[in-house]
Amino acid sequence: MEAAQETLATLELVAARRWGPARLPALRPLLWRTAEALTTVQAVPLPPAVEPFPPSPPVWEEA
Amino acid sequence: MTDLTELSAAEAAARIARRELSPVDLVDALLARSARLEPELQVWAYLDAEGARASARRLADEAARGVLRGPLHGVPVGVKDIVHVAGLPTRAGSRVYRAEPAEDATVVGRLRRAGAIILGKTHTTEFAYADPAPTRNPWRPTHTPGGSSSGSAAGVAARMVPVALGTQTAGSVLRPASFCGVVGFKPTYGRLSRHGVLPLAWTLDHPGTLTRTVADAALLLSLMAGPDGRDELCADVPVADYQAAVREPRPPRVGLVGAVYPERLSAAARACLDETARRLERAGATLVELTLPPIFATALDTHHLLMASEASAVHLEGVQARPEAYGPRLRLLVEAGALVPAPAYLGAQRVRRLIRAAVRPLFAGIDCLLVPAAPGAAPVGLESTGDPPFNAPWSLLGLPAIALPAGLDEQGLPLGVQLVAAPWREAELLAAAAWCERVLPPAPAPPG
Repeated sequence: MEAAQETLATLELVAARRWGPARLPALRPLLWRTAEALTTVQAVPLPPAVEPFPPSPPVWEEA
Repeated sequence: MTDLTELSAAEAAARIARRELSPVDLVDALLARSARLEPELQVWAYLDAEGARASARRLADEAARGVLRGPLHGVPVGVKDIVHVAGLPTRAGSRVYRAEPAEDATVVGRLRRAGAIILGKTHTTEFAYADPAPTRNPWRPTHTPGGSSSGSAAGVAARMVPVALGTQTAGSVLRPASFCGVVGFKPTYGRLSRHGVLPLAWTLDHPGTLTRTVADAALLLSLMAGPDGRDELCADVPVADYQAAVREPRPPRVGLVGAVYPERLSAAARACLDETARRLERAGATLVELTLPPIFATALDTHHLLMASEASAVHLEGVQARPEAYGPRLRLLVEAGALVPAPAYLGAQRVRRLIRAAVRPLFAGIDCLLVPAAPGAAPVGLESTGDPPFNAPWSLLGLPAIALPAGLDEQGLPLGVQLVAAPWREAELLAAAAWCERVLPPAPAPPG
């Protein structure tokens, strides 16, 4: 939660620069949702990036 | 005498093939019903009455001469208005977008070659995101039909068209299907071409179908599936005989993982899910208790980052140029998505692969999972189309999923359940769904 608050503060700074301070009240709920998502996803341990990244988007291999 | 608007696509096609039904009479019956219900329900973004009648006359003449173009000869279809249909405008529920495509989307062209008549374009939320369409729920017009495939779900439920195309990026086929009491189906990501379909978030976008029977979902898939050189992500994977799969289904092995997000599920939907499991077991299905892997808990966050980033990439230029011309929800998504750092987006794609790898083994001994299709019945109000938490994870993972009507709540509104299968296992999924359809309470027509 604390990490998400820090991320939200960063997003608000960038949003104010990019979209103007007047947009912040409307944007804040979605910025909070995005801050939460960034915090959660960035906390997932990823395998070392020593191999070439697979292409995105992913298509399932044939079963 | 049969009410022609009640016929499924397969039933209508069979009668036309036997020369017991004229496509002209079928189109006229559907247009008459649309004329009666459209002022209230607002299903059609563009109803091509004259074009449909002209096609019906041509196809009726051919059928009278014993010439059938394919398994949908003379059967009307609705098409969500983010999918191009040659000769009809595409508006995508937008004030800034208008196209007059000269060419069908691949999925539309394949249905047309099988003899389908395109009855019209159905209302969508703006660019298939969350700013609502004008469509109302045929079960109760004060309630949302869900979205983004709002007109397709409502039109099929209201018997204004037997089948329709939709698309799903989060829950845009299965949730409106559940809210409107019809069958909503999306196959594996890459099974259907997206050529001619406007993108919202291209690594999540799936074409799908709204029908009143599982057999019709199988019929449409059998006609649309297969690689397409104009969509490089449309995979060259063997296409099964989906119609055969649903003819004599056997009792399936069904995995149970609980309510997935129990805090977001209404009591009625929870009771419906539990009762459905009991019904299936009593009728002979094998239930298998399973546990979702811990990393599944990150699915909605991963989905959000991908959808926001990709929708922003698609619509950023337009929003910057004319912000006031976009709906408030899409504008906010685009503005927030533009702030997601590129490494975070790519990290989310990598997390997505980890979730897929962790979820894949669940399907080893089962035909499908049984999970909720929506948080509950259609919410009251037209300002929102409801929430997709029970669909978005499966869109993220690109797995085939189908929503089935499973009863009515205490207010008389439809409730649905969802079946999800392993990648490319649409035949097994549709077979399981066809078996469940026979066991679950029959889905009634909405009042009126």
